[in-house]
Amino acid sequence: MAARLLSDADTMSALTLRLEVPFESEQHAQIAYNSLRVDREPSRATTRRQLSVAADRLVAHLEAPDARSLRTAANALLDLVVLVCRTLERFGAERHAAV
Amino acid sequence: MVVTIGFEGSANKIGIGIIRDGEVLSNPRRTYITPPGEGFQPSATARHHQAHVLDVLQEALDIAKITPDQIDAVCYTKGPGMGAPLVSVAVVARTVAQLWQKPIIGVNHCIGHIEMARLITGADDPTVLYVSGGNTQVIAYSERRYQIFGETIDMAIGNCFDRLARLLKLSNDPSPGYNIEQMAKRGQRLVRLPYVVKGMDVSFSGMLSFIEERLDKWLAGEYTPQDICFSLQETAFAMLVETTERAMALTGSQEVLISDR
Repeated sequence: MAARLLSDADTMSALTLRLEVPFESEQHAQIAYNSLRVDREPSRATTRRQLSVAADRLVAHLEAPDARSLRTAANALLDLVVLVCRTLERFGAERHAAV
Repeated sequence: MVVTIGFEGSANKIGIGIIRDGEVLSNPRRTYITPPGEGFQPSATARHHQAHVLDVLQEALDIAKITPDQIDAVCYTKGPGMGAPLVSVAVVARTVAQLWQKPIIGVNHCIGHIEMARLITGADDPTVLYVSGGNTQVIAYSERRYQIFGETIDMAIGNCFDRLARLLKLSNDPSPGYNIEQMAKRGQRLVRLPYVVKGMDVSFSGMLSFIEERLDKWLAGEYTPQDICFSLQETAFAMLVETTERAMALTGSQEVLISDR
């Protein structure tokens, strides 16, 4: 990845990150995608984020003008991905009969 | 019988409640308490909620003795509040709603406060004084909507109190407001503070600035921290009483509901 300074004429951000997160099923990947795609980045954010699903994988594409912004956005996204994974793990298998 | 589960994490508390036909079956929560002198920032608060939300969810189900099958809808605080904490909790609510195949309902935090208080107290059609860390409003129900009759034009009273507590380095455990109240009980002297009511609205930033500018000088010998806490409460509460009374006079309301948590 080559880093370069952003100028006013630039519309492309300098740094990109692509993440693929495998889930145990296509259904779980779709659930994760639905849960995470709703919230827009805050208007002040300089990072752009795109989410999609490919079979049993969640795919995230981040673009940022500098390494620090990219790291911050990636860490925040990963925290939420981990949270979804933990939720799926802990509550995904429950099929209790009515008491 | 309608059973709903609600997720709330708009500020420093993460709470999950289960209600069946108006009866609260469970209401566990965790509070993110910062050291004295520090307020809670969005990303640290979000991390706190992420760390605890699933345990609180399990607790809510266990205490209520409710299984996911029995739940009819998943509710969550959509806003207003702090962005990162709100998102963290919303993500969990969305995930379980999909797992359990239940409809999901976004709730306005302020309306949630009022409806919860009406449920608990049985109030019918009160004038509502809604005060918290992030909100200060006088509200009445009219034309099928909650209408804001008056509000703070700058900061919430809770935020003002939290910031005074930080200046005085009071503990945030269990909450800064609670500790200000304990201090206020031992106050002896009234410090004259700016009393700011503008029609139906109130303002606290001037009072806070006034205190900030003079605090070191006061504590050097004129007033004790207890006096200052007492004076802040006397002044701020009197301002809210005035605006609430004004709203009651306008609507002819017979009830006041104070909703603060």
